[in-house]
Amino acid sequence: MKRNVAVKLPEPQAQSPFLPGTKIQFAWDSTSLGYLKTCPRLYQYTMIDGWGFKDESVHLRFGSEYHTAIEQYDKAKAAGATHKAAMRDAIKDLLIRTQGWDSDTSTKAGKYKNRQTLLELTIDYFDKFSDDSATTYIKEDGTAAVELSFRFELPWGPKASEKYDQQYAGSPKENVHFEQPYLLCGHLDRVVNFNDSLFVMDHKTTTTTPGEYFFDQFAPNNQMTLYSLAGKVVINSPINGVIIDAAQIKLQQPNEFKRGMTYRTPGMLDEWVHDLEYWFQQAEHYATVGYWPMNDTACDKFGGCRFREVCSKDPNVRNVYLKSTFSHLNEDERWNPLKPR
Amino acid sequence: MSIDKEKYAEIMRKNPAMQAKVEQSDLDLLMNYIIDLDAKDPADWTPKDIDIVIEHQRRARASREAGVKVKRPKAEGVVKLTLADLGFKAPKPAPGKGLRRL
Repeated sequence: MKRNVAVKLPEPQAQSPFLPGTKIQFAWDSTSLGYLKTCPRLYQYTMIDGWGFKDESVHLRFGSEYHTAIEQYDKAKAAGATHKAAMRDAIKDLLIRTQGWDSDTSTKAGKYKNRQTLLELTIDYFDKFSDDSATTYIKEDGTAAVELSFRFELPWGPKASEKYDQQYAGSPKENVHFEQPYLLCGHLDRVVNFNDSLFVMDHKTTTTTPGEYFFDQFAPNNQMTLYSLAGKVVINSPINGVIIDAAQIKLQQPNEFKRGMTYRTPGMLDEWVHDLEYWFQQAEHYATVGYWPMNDTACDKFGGCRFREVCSKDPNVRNVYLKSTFSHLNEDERWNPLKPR
Repeated sequence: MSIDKEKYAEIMRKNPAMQAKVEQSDLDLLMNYIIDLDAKDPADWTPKDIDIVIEHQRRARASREAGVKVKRPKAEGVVKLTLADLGFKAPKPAPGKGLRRL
C-alpha cells in the first residue's frame, strides 16, 4: 500500500512576548490578559513560570480542529464553492488530520470530545448553516475575512522601554517615546455581514446548554471586547460587536447550535483601552518586584482554576505539588501571543 | 464455555427483538466506514467515500431527531446478553457459601 510521506518542517521560533532580560510582557492576547485579570498568580504560573500540561489538551485539539474545518468551509464558500463541495473538502481534510487521534473516552472530556463527536458536530454545523444569513465579509484585497490574525501597536509601552529624546524641547510628554510599544494580538474566526452591520463571529463549543446564562458571560468580556476592537482595526470599519456561534455537543440528542450577540459601542472600546493602561502598569509592577499576588476570589470561577489544588497548599510545599501535577514547559511549548497559528 | 454458532443464529432468527438489539446503528455504520477509510491511503479516497460518511451522519442525526436513543462507542460494540438469552441455564450458587442473615 502506498503512503504519502509528509515531511514536517521545523516551525520558525516565535519572538518572545517579554522585553529582553525581563519578565515584562509587551505582546498581549486575550488569553494572557485574561489570566492577569483573573488572578496574577495564575498569570505567573502560566505565562512567567511556564507550568502546564505536557499532554495535548482534548479541549484544545477539539476546538482547533473544529475551527480549522469551519475556516476551510467558509473560505471555499466565499470563493464560490457549493455547499456540497465545500463540505466534502472540509470533512475529507478533517478526517485526514485526525487520523490516529485517540482521545480517552473513559474521561468526561474524552467522552464528549473525540474524533467521532467532532465529525458529527462539524457535519451538523455545515448542514445547519448551509444557507447562512451571516455572510463572510470580503476585504478590500478581495480575500475572505476568515481566520484573521491581528497584531497592532498601542500608543504607549512599558515604562521600562521609555526613552527620553533630548532633541525635543517640547513638553515632557513629547520628550518620551517607547522603544517597544505594547502590542495586542490574536485571531478572529470570521468577520460577517449580518443585517447590514459588521460583526466578528467567534465559534465556541460547549457541553452545557447555550442559554441566556451562557451568553450573558460575554458582556462585559475581555476577549469579546478585544475582538471588537481588533475587528475595527483590521477591517478599518465600525464593528458592532461579536456574534457568539455556540455549538453544544450532545451525546444522545441532536447537537444544538445557537447564536448570541454581544454589542460594543465606541465608548465601551475606549473605556476598555483606558483600563488596559492600568492593567499593564500592574503587570509591569508585578514583573519588576517579582511577585504576583493570589486573587483568592477567582479560584472557583469557570469550573475551578487548574492551580487551585496547588494554591490551597502551604507556600512551603507548593513547588512539590506543582512539580507532581504540571510540567515545566519549554519556551516553545508555552503560551505565546506572538506564536503564529 | 464456548457458544455454538448455529445455536446462536437460530436463537437470533427466532427472536427478532434480540436481533434488533445487535443490529448496527447509523453511528456504528459511520464509525465502521471510517475505520475502512483509515485503512486506505487518503490519496485513494474518492468524493463518494466522503459523501457516504456525510450521509451516515445525516441518517444518524435524523434518528436522534426522531427520538431514537444513541448507543455510544463504549457500549456500542457490546450487546448485553444473558446466558438465558442464549439458551443456557445460569449455574446455581454453590451451597453453604456467602453470608447468611441471622
